[in-house]
Amino acid sequence: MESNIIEQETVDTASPMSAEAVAAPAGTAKKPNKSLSHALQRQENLIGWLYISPMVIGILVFTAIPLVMSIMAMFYQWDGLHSLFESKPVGFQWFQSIFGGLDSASYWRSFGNTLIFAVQLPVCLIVGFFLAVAMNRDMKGVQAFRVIYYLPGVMSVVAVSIVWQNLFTYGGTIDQIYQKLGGGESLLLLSSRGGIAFTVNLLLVWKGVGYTTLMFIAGLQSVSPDQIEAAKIDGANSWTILMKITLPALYPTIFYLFVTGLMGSLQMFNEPYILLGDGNPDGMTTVGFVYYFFGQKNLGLASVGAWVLAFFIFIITAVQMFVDKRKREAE
Amino acid sequence: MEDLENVNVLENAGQENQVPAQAEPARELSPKKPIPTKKIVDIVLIVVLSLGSVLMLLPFLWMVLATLKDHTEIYTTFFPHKWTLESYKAMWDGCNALMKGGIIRGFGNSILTTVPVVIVQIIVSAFAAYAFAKLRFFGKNIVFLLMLGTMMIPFSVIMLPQAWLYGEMNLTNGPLAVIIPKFFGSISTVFFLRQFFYGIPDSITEAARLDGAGYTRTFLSVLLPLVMPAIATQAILSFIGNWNDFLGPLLFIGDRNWLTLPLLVNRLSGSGGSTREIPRVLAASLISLVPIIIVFAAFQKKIIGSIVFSAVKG
Repeated sequence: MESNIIEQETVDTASPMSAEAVAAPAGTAKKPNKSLSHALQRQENLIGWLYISPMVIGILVFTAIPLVMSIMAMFYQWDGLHSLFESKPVGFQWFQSIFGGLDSASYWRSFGNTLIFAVQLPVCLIVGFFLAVAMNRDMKGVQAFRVIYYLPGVMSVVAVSIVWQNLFTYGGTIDQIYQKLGGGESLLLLSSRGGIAFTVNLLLVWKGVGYTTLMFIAGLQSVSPDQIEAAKIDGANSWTILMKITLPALYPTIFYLFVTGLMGSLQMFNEPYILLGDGNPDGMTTVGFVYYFFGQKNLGLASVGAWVLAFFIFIITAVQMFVDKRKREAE
Repeated sequence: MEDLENVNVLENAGQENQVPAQAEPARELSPKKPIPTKKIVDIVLIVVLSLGSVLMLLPFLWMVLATLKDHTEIYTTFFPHKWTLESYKAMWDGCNALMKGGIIRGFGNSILTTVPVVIVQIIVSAFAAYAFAKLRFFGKNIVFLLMLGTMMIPFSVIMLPQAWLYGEMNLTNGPLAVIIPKFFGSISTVFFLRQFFYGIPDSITEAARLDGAGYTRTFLSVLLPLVMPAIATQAILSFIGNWNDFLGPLLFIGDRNWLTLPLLVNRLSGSGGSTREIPRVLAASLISLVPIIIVFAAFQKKIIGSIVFSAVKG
């Protein structure tokens, strides 16, 4: 008996908490209001779905369907011209080929190239850090410097890569200067493995350093001037302040740039492809491998190559989410 | 580096004052003399940054000069001995089968695959962003999470089935394969605009609703003007991204009459074996950069501001 009464009471006290009661307090007629709010909610459901419907349709047709197909494609001999369902199933043949089989050397070499072309990332971070500190000062012309250093980053990758191709090619402008200075015939900047690694990274640093600089400049706003002032009074020199106060304040920015940069680097395609053309073993990235076997009409092998790459990207994403979550919990 | 400069600066400052007797105890009291130190560090930094700027701009300068050279001296001189506009003329007239109709054709293709995409994509994304930020509807959070999830899928995974799909839809014979799919909105734009809609207090939407405005009216006449700066930023970034896009058109445009400028320039540089073509290819590259240079010059504050925004958010 007693417990029943308590239950009823709790129900009664709970009911005013519901949304309708809050919206219409103090004894106004509940029933018509409730149906009105239901009608409103139904209308809002309809409008909401109407507004997002193009995106939902787009994702279903142009992302979800290709996603399922690319998973299936890994197990078929698919040429990309005929329907996947008419193609011959081959089981794990493409997996075997990439992990130890016929295309293993080629795939992992292109994966290695991709990592070599990621050397630009730490370089961009270090150079960008010093540029940001230099440009974060209150002095004339700083805005112009920010624009100039960022300029190569917005320019068409094809246009700038073609400029670099002509500068660094065998017998190109750089080689001509090298010859005039009394060097040898050529530095082989686009025709040897080391030369390609150097040239592609240099191009990527030139294109990318403005972005990291701008991100660091934004991050520097979080450095407290009081802390620097206090350190100065304690007799710390500029270098100590830079390393002990400024740099730690930028750790979140560094982490963000490193993770997003690494994911971008792993999916590198444009610059090496435009500089060196299709299928160059020293310039082929992982995505270049995928594209190459698209051209060879072997979409099964290409899909396995793409998914192995995606696996590494997912791991990086998971690490990023884990660190972000820990950071939020710490705050 | 700065540390070393400061040491030099302090010594220089002492000499300039020409009162060494006084300078010595002054240094004891306050180890740094802020005003002259800052000035000289500024000058050193400006010199260093200027040298860096020259390195950043040198490839562009080489490019402009190379388009004005005769092909025989393309690699051997910096400034042309004989200035010529031959390569621009060749690009205007069209010098081979690939360039039939001249560069203007590629220019038109690039406009066609960029401007409608930017406009439709922004409108569709803005409606979705408004719905996700301000409306309460069934399944909203799940759909939004799924959409964010699709952002994690690398393009290289889905691009090959997409190429097949667009072929089946008969989109790859013209430019439509790089236009139609983008009409369905951009998830990153939705994500970006949603933040801005969140920033608008609900009281404003409710006031409009009480005045009898429907959802669409409220959105178009009350909320949209408030987020216009953000929409403009997204439109500019979308224009630059779509204009420069390479891998998408490379996979999805099969007909050589419909090549966009980046694709055309790439084919052109790959097709010719002789150095004769090089100034022409560079002229075409330069022409492909013109819209980007104009947009960047006009909106550099907005573009750079958007990076700062993403930095603060990230």
